[in-house]
Amino acid sequence: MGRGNNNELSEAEERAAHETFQALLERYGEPKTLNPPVNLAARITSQLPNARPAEILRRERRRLLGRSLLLWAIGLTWLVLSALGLWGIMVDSSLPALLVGGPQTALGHVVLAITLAAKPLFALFSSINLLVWVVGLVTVIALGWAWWKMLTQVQPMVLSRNQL
Amino acid sequence: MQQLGEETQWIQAALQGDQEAFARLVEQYTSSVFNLCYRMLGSTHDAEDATQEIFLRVYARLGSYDLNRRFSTWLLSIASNFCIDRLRRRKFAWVTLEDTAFMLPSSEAGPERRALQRERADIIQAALQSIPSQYRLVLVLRYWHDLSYSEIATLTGLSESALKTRLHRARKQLAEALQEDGATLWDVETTTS
Repeated sequence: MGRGNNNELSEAEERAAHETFQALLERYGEPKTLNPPVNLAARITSQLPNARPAEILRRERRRLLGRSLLLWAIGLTWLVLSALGLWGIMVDSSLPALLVGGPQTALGHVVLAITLAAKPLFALFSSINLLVWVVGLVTVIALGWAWWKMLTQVQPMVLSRNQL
Repeated sequence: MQQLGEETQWIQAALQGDQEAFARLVEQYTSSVFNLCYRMLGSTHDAEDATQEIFLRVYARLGSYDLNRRFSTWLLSIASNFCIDRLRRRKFAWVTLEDTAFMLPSSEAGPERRALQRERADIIQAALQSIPSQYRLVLVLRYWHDLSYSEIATLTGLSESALKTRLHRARKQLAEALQEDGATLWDVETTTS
């Protein structure tokens, strides 16, 4: 029938399928056009910002750039602090603080505090039996999966109800 | 042709901040955008909200519009992306206890259930909502907006052959959804053989 693969129709088949589908729609009185609310266009126009489109776009781009820079900065800071904390735990608690001017400076104080706070947590995690870790991890994953399934199955029902 | 010329003038004036010119574009295309949103999102309320947001987005992005392209195609591509994005976000919306209260059994049909029954009367609209959004989009653009294959391909970023395959599957899925709903008016084999 001149078909390239399983799903590709020839032109004649495509035309026939198109016409049959149109006939089906017609039986249901479709395709029909809904009239939008009378004042919708006026409402949209009244909400337009005063600035020119180019200016709005520039502002939007600046805002997005600022946001991504902030996110990068937060991520990088977190990464650096984690690396310093790990170094402090594995090697020497005061070394990371010394890198930023020593424990007597404000920043050094913060780094030292993070390093020291991480120490007992690290000790706690390393003291737990490997089996407990595995069982805990499997439980967390199973609960997460069950929660996700519940959300994805309930959502469509809730949303279709909310649309009415 | 005259209308296209006028449209270009409105766009150029709107680019200079002329809101009256943009208002004319809004008037011209409100119905088209509203109907696309209604078919994609499933309710008039959501369609109304989406139409407003789409035109505000279009105004902000007017500077990136290429005057050699058809404005309606560009506008509908923004509207399509907006609807697909909104449908994707719906999947991650939080469900509150109040939202789930309707699932409890009730002896009589309340206003929500009656509304649901009314909505069921619109069989095609219900069937459309049951198929994946990417399929729904191509059906709506083809049959409700009467766009050509090449226009839909430009708008969705698909090749024409990929579009035809998607349209074929979409027709089949809608037909199957209608059959599940009790409709036996469509011979599925016509499009699947």
